[in-house]
Amino acid sequence: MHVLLLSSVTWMAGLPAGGSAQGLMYLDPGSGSILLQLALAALLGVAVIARAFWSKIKAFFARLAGRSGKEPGDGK
Amino acid sequence: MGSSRSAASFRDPSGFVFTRQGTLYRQVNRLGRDDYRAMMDGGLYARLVGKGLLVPHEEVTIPAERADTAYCILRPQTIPFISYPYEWCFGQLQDAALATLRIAREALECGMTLKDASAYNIQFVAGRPTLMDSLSLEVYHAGEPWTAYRQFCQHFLAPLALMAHRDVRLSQLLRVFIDGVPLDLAQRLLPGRTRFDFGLLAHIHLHAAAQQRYSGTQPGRPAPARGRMSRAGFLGILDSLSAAVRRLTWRPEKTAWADYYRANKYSDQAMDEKARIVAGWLERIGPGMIWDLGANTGRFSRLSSERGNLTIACDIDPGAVELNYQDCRARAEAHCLPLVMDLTNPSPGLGWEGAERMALLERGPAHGVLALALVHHMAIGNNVPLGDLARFFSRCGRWLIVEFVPKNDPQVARLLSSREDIFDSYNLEGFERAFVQTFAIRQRQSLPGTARELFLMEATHDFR
Repeated sequence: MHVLLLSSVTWMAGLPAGGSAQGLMYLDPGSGSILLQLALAALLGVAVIARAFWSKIKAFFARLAGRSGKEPGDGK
Repeated sequence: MGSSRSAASFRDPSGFVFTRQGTLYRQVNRLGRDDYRAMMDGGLYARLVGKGLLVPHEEVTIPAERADTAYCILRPQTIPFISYPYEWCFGQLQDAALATLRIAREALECGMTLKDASAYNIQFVAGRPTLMDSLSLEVYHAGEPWTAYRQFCQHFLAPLALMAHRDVRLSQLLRVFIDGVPLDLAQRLLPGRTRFDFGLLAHIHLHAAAQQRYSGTQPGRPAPARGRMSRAGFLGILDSLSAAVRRLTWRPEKTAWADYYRANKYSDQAMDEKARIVAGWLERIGPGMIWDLGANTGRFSRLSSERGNLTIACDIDPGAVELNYQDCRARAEAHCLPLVMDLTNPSPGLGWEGAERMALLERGPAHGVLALALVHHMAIGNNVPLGDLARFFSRCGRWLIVEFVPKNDPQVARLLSSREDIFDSYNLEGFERAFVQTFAIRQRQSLPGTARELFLMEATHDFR
C-alpha cells in the first residue's frame, strides 16, 4: 500500500502541483480515494498507452501485409 | 396544482428538478451553463441519446422555478416508473454499473467527464439502464482525476462484489447506506480470496485502506496535495473498473423461488387456463401500468407487458427476479421491469427528510394489480389479515386480478404443515367478505382441476 502510494507521489512530483481546474465539484471525492486513484492511474495508464501502441504496430503491419498482397489495379 | 422542487434534487448547484402541474422539468442554473452548453454543442448529448444512454430532453420556454439563478429550463422525457438500486437484481445493478462507465468513457472522448456516479441517476428506460441526470456531465480539464471514483465504488462495485462473493441479499445494504456501501464495511464483509482479484484488491481493499489512512483533516495539518492524472490514466481506471465489474457473476439456481413453476404441482392445463383468464381480463381493463406482485420469473407479467403495458414485476426472491431480468434482456423486452421487493416490507421513503427516494406506494397508483398465488403467502405465511391485504392492494392500483388459494390446496397445506392453523376465516367466504370492503367483484372464475378461484375486482374508492 505504502509502496504504491509512494510511487504515485514520485510520479506526481514531475507534474504541476495544485488543484485541478474543476468547476462545480459538489461531491467530496475523499483524499484517500484521490491519492489511490492517482497511484492506480499511473499504473493502469501505462497499460492503456502500451495497448494503444501495440494496436498501432499491429495496424501498421496489417496495412503493410495488405499492400504487398494486393494486385495492382484491384482497388476500387 | 402548483409547482415544487423535487425532494431528491438539492445537491448539485448547477441545477435542479421541479414538478409543475404534473410535468417534470429541470432548471439549469447559470452556474451550470458552460457545462450544459459544452454537452449540447460538443456532440456528447446527441451521442449519448443516440446510444440510449441518456434520457432525452427539450428546452422549453416557461417561467423558471428560481428566476434569479436560472439559465434555461428543460423538459426531460417522462420516466413512467422510478426504481432504486436496492430494488434491482444483480444483473440490473451490474448493467447499470457498466452503463455508468460507458457514459464516463463517451464523455471523455468528447472532452467531458461524468462528475458523479450515483446509482440513483440511472433508471431503466424501455428495459435499458439510462442516465437521467443531464447535468451530471461537465467539461474535462486535463490532469483532473475522476471525482466520482469513490462514489462509483460505493454505489456499484462494493455491492456487486458483496452480492457475488458473499450473499446476493447484501444488495439490501444500499437501503441503509444511501450513498453506497462504505468501503471499509465492504472490505470486512468480503472473503479474503477477493484480494487475489486485482480489481477488487485495488478498488475496494486498497481503496478502503487509503480512505482510512487519509481520513479527516486535522486542524493545522496541511490539506493533502491534489495531483494530476493523465487522460490515459483516467481511461485505465475506467477500463479496470469495467473489467472488475464484468468479472463478477452470480447465478440464481439455488434460491427457493426460482424453480417455483417447475416444482409446483399444477398441470400445464391449469396454468394455461389461468393465463387465458388473466389475458382476457387484462384486455377488459384496458391499457395502463400494471404491478405484478409476487411475479416470480414473470410468466404472467409477460401477458401484460406483451400488450404494451409497462409492467412492474415485483418478487421477494432475487433469483426469480434475476431470471426474469435476464429473460427480458434476451428478448429486448421494453415494457417489463423486474424488481426485488418484499411486500411485507415494501420500499419506504428514504434519504434526507425521508423524501429523497420514494416509497413504493408513492410511485403508484397503478392501473391494475396482479396478485396471483400470493394471498396465501401474505395471509398465512405472514399473518396479514385479509382485510389489511385488500386495503394494501387497493392503495396499489384500481383494478385487481387476484387468486384465492384455499387451505386444501397443496401449497397452503405445505405452509400450514409446520405451524398451528390459527386462520379460521381463511376460506372463500372470508376472503370475499374481506375484499368487498374495498373492492367490487366484477368477474370470477374457478381454475379447473384445482380448488383455486380467480377474481377481477375494481377498487371502490376514488382514484385520481
